[in-house]
Amino acid sequence: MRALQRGLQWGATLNSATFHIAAVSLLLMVLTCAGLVLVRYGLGLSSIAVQEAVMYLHALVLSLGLAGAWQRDGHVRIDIFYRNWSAQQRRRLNRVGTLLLAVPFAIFVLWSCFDYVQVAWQRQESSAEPGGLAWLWLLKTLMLVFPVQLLLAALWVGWGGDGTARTEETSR
Amino acid sequence: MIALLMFLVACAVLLLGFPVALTLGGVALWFGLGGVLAGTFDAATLLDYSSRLWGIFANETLVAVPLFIVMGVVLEKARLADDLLHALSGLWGGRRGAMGYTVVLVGALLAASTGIVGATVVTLGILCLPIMLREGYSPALASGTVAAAGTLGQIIPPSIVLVLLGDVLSSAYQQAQLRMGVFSTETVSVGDLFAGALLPGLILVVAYLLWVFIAAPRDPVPVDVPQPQEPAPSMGLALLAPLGLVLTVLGSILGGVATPTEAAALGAAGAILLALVRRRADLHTLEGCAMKAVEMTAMVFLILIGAALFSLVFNAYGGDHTVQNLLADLPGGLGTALVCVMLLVFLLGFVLDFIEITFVVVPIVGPALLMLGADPIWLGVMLGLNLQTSFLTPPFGFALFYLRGVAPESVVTTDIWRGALPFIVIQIGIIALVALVPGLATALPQWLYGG
Repeated sequence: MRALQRGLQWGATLNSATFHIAAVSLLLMVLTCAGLVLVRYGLGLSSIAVQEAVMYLHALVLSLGLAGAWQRDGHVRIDIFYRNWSAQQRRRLNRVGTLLLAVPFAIFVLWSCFDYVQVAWQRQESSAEPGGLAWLWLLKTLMLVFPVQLLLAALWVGWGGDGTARTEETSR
Repeated sequence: MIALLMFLVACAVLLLGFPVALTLGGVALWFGLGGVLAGTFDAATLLDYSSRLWGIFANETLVAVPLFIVMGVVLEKARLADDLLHALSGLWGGRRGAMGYTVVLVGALLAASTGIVGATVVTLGILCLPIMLREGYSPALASGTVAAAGTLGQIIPPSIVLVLLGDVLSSAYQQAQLRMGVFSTETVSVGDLFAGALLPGLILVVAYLLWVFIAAPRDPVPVDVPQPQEPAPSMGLALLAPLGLVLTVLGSILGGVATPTEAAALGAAGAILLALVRRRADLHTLEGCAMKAVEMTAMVFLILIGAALFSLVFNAYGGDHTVQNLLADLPGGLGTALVCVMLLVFLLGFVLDFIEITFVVVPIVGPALLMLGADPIWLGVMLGLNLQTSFLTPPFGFALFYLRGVAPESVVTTDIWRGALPFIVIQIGIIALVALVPGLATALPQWLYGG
């Protein structure tokens, strides 16, 4: 039991870490993208590689933050009934929802994307543009990374923390 | 029919309160499995999901979303609203209903620079609501004005709603043209929507101001606006900073110099610069802003990820054709269909969030309306106005929630609801106006971008 708890905690920590990576990527994305515009209009230079770097950062921001945001209860709920429920009712809903909705969905994403990503790896897919970045296959792997992270977050939300997920102070 | 059943089941399950994105994805998955087992469609249909998912990751329009979110979050931290408020409230000095106008104007200015409803409503609610009550405003009028002013960010460009709507509508428009056999398709862009929403947004501000003028107390009690603890920037600086940002962002988009994404990046960088120069943020607060922005970005994109499976399964059951036939068979053509859709969106707005409506409902009804001949910009602006209204509709309008959180005890919840009502009527009036005079939405984009 103890080992299980420690495993859940480990998953949650991992998700928080990638959430931080997403935050840093977002700041980098702002700087890169703004710099790109200024350099283009100031000096008349442009670079496909830097443009694609913005896309890469964007993909990191949107995918690496998904699980961490759930652990912070950042995903919007229709809380008409939920906010009046007791901690125990919320815990029950979160567990049932996790088992019936979140876990199957995450597994489905893994299943449906597996071949897609595998093909990208086999071809070592890179940018279609000349001068573009060569790591498209690696970027596509994020489609398998985030569902695994969602599974870890699901277990943590259902059984790791207090099972209610924080609401009052964090939601929106 | 099963498609419509799925829609109803999803709505019912959503009410239980599990995160929306995962609910949409989970419900759609069970219906998808059911369809595969029943032989309605084969499993390969569901495998299509991978390329749709990659489409979300690689979508260039949506890159603007996290950037605009950063801009809004940082400006909130830079306490732009406080500065504006203090600068503008001096302007009216003790005239009838002074604070009411200030609230609407600050709402409009913030709208153009941040577009985040929660932040605006909370700030205005904390700072202005007590003053308005002391000036003699009724609790209903005061809270209604604050809530409505806070929602202006949804329609006055640049706004995140319009970015999302622009993305969804552009693919709906393409689909509609392909289905009608037009292969040299025309496009609609986020920039078009920004330009289209500008005039209706300004009309809305004027309408709000008129209502405050009509309803404001006849004999206001002069109230001194409390001065901020730290020295306030001069009136000029307080106004110039946000105006400069707005001009940069909006001007560069409408002037065709930058794409919405580039403009958003400039806006975000400008906001960070402003916060640093004013010493309202250090690296530590910036980190906090980035975390908050990632959380909001994740929220938007997970809904998109869940809704993508939802619409995939919905269409696999033939839902798109069902809805299309339903709308096309209505007597009265486009007019009736439009009224029905607007009514549906308005009603869904009572329970659902604008993001869910944009990602779930608009892809379903959009192509049908466009095939009936609706102009995409016109449709987008009306949908935007309609979604903005959903922030105000009790009992679940977000603006009302936020305001309840910060309003003094003396303002009861029914006051807030009652106060929102006239503004909802104004909203509906403006939607009707745009419906009857499409030029309000389409003239500016046409003039700017031609044809």
